[in-house]
Amino acid sequence: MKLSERSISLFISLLLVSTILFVPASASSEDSSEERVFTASWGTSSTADWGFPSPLTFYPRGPGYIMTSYCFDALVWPEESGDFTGLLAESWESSDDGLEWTFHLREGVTWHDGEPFTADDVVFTMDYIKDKAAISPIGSSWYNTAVIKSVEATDDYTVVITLNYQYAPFIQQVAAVIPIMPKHIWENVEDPSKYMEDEAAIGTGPFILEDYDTDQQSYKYTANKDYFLGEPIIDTLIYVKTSDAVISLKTGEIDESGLTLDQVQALDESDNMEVISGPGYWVYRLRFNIPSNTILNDTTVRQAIYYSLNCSDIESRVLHGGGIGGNPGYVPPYSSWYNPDVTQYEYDINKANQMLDDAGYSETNSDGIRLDSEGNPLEFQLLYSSDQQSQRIAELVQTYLKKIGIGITLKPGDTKTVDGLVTAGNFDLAIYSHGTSTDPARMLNSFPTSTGWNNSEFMALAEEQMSTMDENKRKELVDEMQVLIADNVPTIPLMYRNVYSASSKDTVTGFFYTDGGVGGGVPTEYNKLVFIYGTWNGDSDETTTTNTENSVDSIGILESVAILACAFILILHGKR
Amino acid sequence: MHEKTLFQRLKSPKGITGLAILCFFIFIAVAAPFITSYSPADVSSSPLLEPGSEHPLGTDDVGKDIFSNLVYGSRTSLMVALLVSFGVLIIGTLAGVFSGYTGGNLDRVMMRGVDIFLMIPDLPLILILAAYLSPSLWNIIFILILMGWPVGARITRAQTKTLRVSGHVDFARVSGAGNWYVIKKHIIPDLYPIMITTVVMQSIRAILSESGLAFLGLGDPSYPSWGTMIKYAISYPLVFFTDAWMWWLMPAGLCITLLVLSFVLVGQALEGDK
Repeated sequence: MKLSERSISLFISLLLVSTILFVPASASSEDSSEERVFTASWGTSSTADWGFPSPLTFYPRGPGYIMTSYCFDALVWPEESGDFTGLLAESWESSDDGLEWTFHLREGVTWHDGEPFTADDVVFTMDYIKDKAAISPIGSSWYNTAVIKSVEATDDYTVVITLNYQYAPFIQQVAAVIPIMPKHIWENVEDPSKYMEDEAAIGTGPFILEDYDTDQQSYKYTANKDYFLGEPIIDTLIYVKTSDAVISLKTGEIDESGLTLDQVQALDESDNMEVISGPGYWVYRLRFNIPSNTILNDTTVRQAIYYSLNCSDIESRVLHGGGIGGNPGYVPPYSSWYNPDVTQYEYDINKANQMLDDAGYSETNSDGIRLDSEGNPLEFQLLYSSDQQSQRIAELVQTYLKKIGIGITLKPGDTKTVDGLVTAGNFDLAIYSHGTSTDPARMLNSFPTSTGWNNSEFMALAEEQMSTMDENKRKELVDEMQVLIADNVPTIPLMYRNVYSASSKDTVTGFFYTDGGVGGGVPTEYNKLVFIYGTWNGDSDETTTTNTENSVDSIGILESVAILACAFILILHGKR
Repeated sequence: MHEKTLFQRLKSPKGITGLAILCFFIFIAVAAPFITSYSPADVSSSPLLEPGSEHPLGTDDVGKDIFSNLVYGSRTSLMVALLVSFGVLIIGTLAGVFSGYTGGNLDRVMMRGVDIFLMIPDLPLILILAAYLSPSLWNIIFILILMGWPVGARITRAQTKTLRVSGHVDFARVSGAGNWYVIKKHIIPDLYPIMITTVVMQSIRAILSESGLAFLGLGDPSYPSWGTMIKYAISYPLVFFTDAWMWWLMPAGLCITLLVLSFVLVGQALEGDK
């Protein structure tokens, strides 16, 4: 008995001694790299794969461009105020007629691989992307090269761009968008749409692509320490996919994410988040099949439908305050191009009913659905993509239209199906949601294709405003366009969604929504200037790890002392 | 004879519990307009209200009364269960009895057809069809019957084959009874237990499939459904950070569970489980 007790206590003491000896040793063998890692996410979305971040292979939507913009710089770039600062160009000026733009390039800039950047690269880029419409970012009109007549390098650091015609938003839509690519890499590439080697992501940007994973849908960038605007405030930038952004933020799995207002409300004080909001330039609108549906082709019917919809009520039920009700002139009220003096359609059921009665739909059937002159009920199919917001809007529109005797059958589909059916003209009504872009050139001029509404007066104004260089004059023309839109109701803007972003106060703060958007109008908090001029608040990862190590050690020591004491007592007990 | 034993089996505690729950849901479905004053599609209330005297279970994210959606949702579930189970029962029994009783090449051909149906995985096909056809409740019922009848047919056929060569059927035939008479008097009555099990199993399947499809957004948006309620509740980001899950998410889940449970209990009782 005594012997075995003693041996047990001896064994325990031995174990203890070894623990004390080995635990700290194993702990200190952890790496002690001094990394400032920032993990971001594009919010809760079905995909986080935005394509390989090179100017010719990114997925042609806003996030795809942003992922590319970390590696590649344009000539100029928007600041928070929407004013432009020079990136690769130090300064620029235009000729009096606005046709000739001279860019004085920054000297001493190098590509990620050490090669010097010169005017040749700019000329090469502009020529290279000019007629490659088959490549997706170009085909989906990310780069407006149609306005460019010629690009010339007058010396190593001066580029002159001549335009075909006067183009008012040249800086916003062209100079600040087209990423400059290295000539020495791309001139030998055979199939640019499939070129995704490591070299393909070499640019002049603040970050160097380290890893892009299609399956994981993740991106990893390291800072470009030699960046010409200054060293980035973080060492590593990571983008990951998250299935629930709020939970990922709370657990610290990610440091920053774009959110909806509902998600923002799920965060509280203890989460220590900096929340910013901005104009989303994202519209939810009711789209009519104007060309093929004879009933909806009637402007009176569309106006009556507008009167029957309470847009601000729809907003409060679907976004719960995370947006604003639609404006009949289509331009969101926070835009500098907004014209408040257009026909307003205040919610008025009686007026809507009256208008439909007058338009010849006064008879109703037993269900209270109006009949047209041939006795067919006024019933439409409402197409929508089956995300939460669109589905809720569709249900509400159905309820509202029922009150004025218009029947709606709901037809949900996934985004691609809806896009396909709408493009084919195979629908009556559709709930459509997309970014509006920030410049009238893209926001309004696409109306004939995006609504099916053709109006020669409108198109004449559209052409004119594009080539009007005088801002005030251009604003007047855009105002007139909005008046026309509001009068004719080619589409009903139901509401505009705001964008929200939350970032952990322990990491990077200073995010902002760029006025006018990034890259020609992407409303995002990921303006790369944040990572240059923002602030890093966290301790670097190294200190945090040491802290935890220390606590581990102290626990180990405490434990050991306790066990030692026990063993001692046991031995004493055994001796007795 | 047969009915009596079935009723006796139902008298077990399990059967009574199951029947009670089932009757409760049937009562709610029938009396829905008297139980709640709101229509399930009514969106006049403010969104995201907490439970109160106006709304016993509060309102959801667009201002629909959750309680009335729950009550009217029982109509949808029960209707789908009823139509699908009886659809499968009628088609399956007819096909099974016909195939089993006729035998021969016809039987072989029909059973190969059934095999093909049985081989197709249920859920993926339902998903594709539901997405392809427009999402109406009738389409869902149609698809569920289409995918369900071969199971019923298989079981019925096997039983019919055994019955066809059993003593009393042979005796009836020898005594000069016609085919129709034999089927009606001697085969169908012996199939009652199988038929009742079919109804129960198919009801469970129908309820779960309908809720599942609705949860995936492939249901009929014009009918209130428990699956849709769960879908919306889960996609509301705050549902687990506030108490909203208690009156929004849980009741719908509970209703599905209880209704399925009632069918399971009835089914077990009928099979003679104590």
